[in-house]
Amino acid sequence: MVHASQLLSWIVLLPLIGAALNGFLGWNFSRRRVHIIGVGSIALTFALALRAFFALRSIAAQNAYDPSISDAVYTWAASGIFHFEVAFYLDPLSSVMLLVVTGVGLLIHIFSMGYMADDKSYARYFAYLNLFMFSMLVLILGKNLLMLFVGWEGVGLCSYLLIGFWFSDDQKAQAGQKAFIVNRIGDFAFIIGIMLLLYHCSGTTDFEVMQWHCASGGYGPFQDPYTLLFCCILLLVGACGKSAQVPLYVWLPDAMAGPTPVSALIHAATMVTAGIYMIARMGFLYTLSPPSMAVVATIGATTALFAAIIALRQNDIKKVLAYSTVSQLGYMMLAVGVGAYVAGIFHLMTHAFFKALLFLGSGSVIHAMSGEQNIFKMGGLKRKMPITRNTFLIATMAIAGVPLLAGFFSKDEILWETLTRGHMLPLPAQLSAAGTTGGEGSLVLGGEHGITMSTDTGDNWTQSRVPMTALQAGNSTVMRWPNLTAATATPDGTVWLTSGHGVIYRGDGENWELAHSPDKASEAKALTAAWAAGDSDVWFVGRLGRVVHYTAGGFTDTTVGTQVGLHALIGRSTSEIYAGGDRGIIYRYDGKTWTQQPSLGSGRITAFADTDDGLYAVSSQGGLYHQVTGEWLEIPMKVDGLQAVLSATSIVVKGNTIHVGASARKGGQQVAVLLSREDGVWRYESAGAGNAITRVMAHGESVLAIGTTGNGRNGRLWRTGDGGLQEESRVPYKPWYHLVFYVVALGAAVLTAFYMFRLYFLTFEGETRADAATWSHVHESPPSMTIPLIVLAFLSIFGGYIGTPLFEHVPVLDGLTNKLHHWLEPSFRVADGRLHGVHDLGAAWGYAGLSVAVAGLGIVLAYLFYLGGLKDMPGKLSERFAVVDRVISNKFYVDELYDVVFVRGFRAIARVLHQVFDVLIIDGLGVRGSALLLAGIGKAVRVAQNGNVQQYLVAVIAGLAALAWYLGG
Amino acid sequence: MTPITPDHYIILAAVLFMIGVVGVLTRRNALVLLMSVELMLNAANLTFLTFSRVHGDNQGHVMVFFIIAVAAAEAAVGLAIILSVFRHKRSVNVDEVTAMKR
Repeated sequence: MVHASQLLSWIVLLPLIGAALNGFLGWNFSRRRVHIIGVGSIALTFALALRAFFALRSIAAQNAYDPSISDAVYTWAASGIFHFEVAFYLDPLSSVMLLVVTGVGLLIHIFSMGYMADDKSYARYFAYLNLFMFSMLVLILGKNLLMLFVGWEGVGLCSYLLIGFWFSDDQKAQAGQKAFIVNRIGDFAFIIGIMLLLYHCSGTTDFEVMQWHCASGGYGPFQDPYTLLFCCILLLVGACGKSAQVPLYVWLPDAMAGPTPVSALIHAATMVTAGIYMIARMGFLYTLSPPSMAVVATIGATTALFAAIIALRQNDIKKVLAYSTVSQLGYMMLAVGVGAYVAGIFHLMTHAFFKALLFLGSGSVIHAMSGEQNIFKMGGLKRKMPITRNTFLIATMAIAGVPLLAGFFSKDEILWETLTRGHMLPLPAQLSAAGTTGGEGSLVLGGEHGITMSTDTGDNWTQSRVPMTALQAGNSTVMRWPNLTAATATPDGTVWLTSGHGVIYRGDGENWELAHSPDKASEAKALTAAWAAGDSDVWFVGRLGRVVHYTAGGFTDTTVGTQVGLHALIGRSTSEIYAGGDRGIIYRYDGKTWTQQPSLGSGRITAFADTDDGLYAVSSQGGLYHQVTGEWLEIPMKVDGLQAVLSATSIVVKGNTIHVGASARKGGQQVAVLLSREDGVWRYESAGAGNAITRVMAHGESVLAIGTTGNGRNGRLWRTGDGGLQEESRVPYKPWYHLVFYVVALGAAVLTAFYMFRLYFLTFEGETRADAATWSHVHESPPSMTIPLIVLAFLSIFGGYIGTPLFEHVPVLDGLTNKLHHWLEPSFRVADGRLHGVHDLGAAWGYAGLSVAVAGLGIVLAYLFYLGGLKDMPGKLSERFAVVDRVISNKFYVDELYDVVFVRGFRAIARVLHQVFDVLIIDGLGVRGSALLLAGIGKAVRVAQNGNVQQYLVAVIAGLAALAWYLGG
Repeated sequence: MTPITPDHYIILAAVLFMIGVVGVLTRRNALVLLMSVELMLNAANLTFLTFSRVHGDNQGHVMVFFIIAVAAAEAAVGLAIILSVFRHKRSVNVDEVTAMKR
């Protein structure tokens, strides 16, 4: 009885054993033995994979939060805090990958039995294929990034070996080299990214540990957002190399030089998906940095469209499929870039099915056509190869997005998620500035490190920062972002921000500029409150009695009274302004001067509120004061359920209700509360123990309170509403460029439908264009090749039903709704916490209809151009747009560009290095030089060997005498 | 008449040793070379015995036994080599043994 965790080691090892047997001893084996070992090992692996999957399912039944199976085999290296374990990890994400890899892998191994039957290196082929499976399994089952990288390199190696399988043909060997070298560029960036993570995550790259590092938000394990972004981009470059994204996709079309089953397995279903898998795995890191996700999505969308354009004019059946793969990988990259991880993996799965089917079908065709790969020399194959034709047609329909086939569901989901997903930005800590630009529902918040968040409608926020300013820090001046303390807005929509370093900023909610910083360092006292009297009349007050007045003439910086810190400011008109501060002090401005009023209590006056009913003030000792006709009266704040109100920080009056943000003692704990007094009755709503409310304001229908959590590290926003106080720690942000991505992806979808059906029509339909000899040989492939085709066709049709949300109300199928989503939920929980999506079924169906229409357009055009009435259109279009046509046919000259920019330069450098360094210096000076030197020394010394014994004795005696003299004296 | 002190023996041994050294370095006849070597060894013997008498213990005597045995063995081997060379060259002149010279 094998324990569940041991399964993982066996799953990885079985293909390796098969590879070793076939590799070292296979030259002696019969065909039959080779494929029993080769295919049998994968069949066993698939069986074990199923077993592991069901084991995980039963674990998930009890522990739905984070089911996983871990197997730590041994510690490879440990030094100080660096710890590298060979360990395997099966969680929902890797279980999906596991089943896809082993399942599709098994089918392709079976197909290869028929396809490679006439090849003389049968054993070597299966050895390499099994080695590849081993590496891929290490990649997806690895528990840390270093194990993933081991598998990553392994699949790169096997890709090289398999592409250049027929290495006696120079061109094919070079294609293998190209794949390996381009991959390596990505690997280089990847390993640097891994090292960065190792350094910052205390010497480990274990996925669970790194997730913990990233769980608290902020910048994860990094100190600043730029290092985080850099690390994410490095990892992304690695993924671009492996998953053939722009600019590192150039190896994939050349990789078609390998045997077709290899193209199906490696370059469609498994290896190229490794990059997507890695980014999905590291989702918890990417979601911390919305800019990095934008980069990922941009690359994905660009690749999807770019490759689709190139595929339009390819004539080799495998090249069309190669560019199609690059394009579909772009879709997956786009999906993980907008945060739709489940959609990306879903598409990865369905793509594996139909792309493998397409490649195997093309293999069947090439086999039948005696090696011909040009689709313009094919045609009419449907008559002679019915099974191949039908399965190929099913796969073509799936990739084009024909409804109810697998590809439709996954592609549609990506499109929908691109349109609706967004990020959830965390509120900055020490949130204490709140204002509005005047628009309905608009809000501008400011917090520590100069971060501002603003929104116009409440469901799409933008985060920005005030510019860095030179501030005093001790004795020196440094460039820093100050903490923002208060905000006010003028009627024309300008928002003014004050800061804890005494500088004032002005802006429109998103763009900020420095408005005023004091001339002398001694005057940089923190500003705490602001009030706008008009467009060119704004008052600011701060510590040590500082008062700043902005008028059309500029800023006037003065000190009022006895330099007591001021913390509250309000004006009833331009000539009646009140400022309050420490020790209950109140000043009144009458249009000309500030005069001190009688103090209110002994606490610090923290806020004012102006109503028709008079002026209110609150203090830091929990006092509430009301001024009516010049007299201040104290209103006690006695609230049922609270032991005492400790201090009040802000006040706003809405209608006839007074709202006070305060800190109170409840049940022995300090709790932040929002107090409200209506008709003389006090009520409270708790905002959490340990938290602190810094400001309250009226916003639309409700009252908003902003503040910080107890540990001072996160900002919070509270809103009154039905059902009590709603707390938000993150606000939604929908980037505008998601719409651009959607349009690009939709465009790529049209092209996909078009070129795939072009391929189908030219290959299978119509009259044949092959010559008589080839045509007579065309036959349907043997069952070892057609059975995998049929199985994959089945999966291409029904594989999509487990992942779609569209069938929620359909009777029979609703049990399957979102099954994939629910299964994968634990793997993406941390990442998803920072994203938000929209769940509107009606709109989803609407957009689904749009993508169907778009696919239909592509299919209809392809039919007309290649089978129907517009057959001469392709020719006419190429003439009319000759330049464009030539550029596209030549793949945008990217390979030529790389050749000129990189390859030639590096070749020249290599040549110089070889001739100067290698030949002259190392060979000449080093190797031959040292030999000549030694020979020369020998020649010189040899003179003393004259064979005269007595002369030797003279030397001995002389030496002895010298020694005796030295020792004696 | 001055008594014979150990110093006399030492000086005698030193003189004998130097005569032996000069003989080894300058004489051309191989047999004379061997005799000079024996002279040096005997000088060493004398020195050991003298000091053995001076310190009053027999370690020097033991050493002399060793040296006599080794000298005998070495003389035997040396004479065997000279005989071989003589058979080849009909001469015992060491200046003529230069076959290994480059």
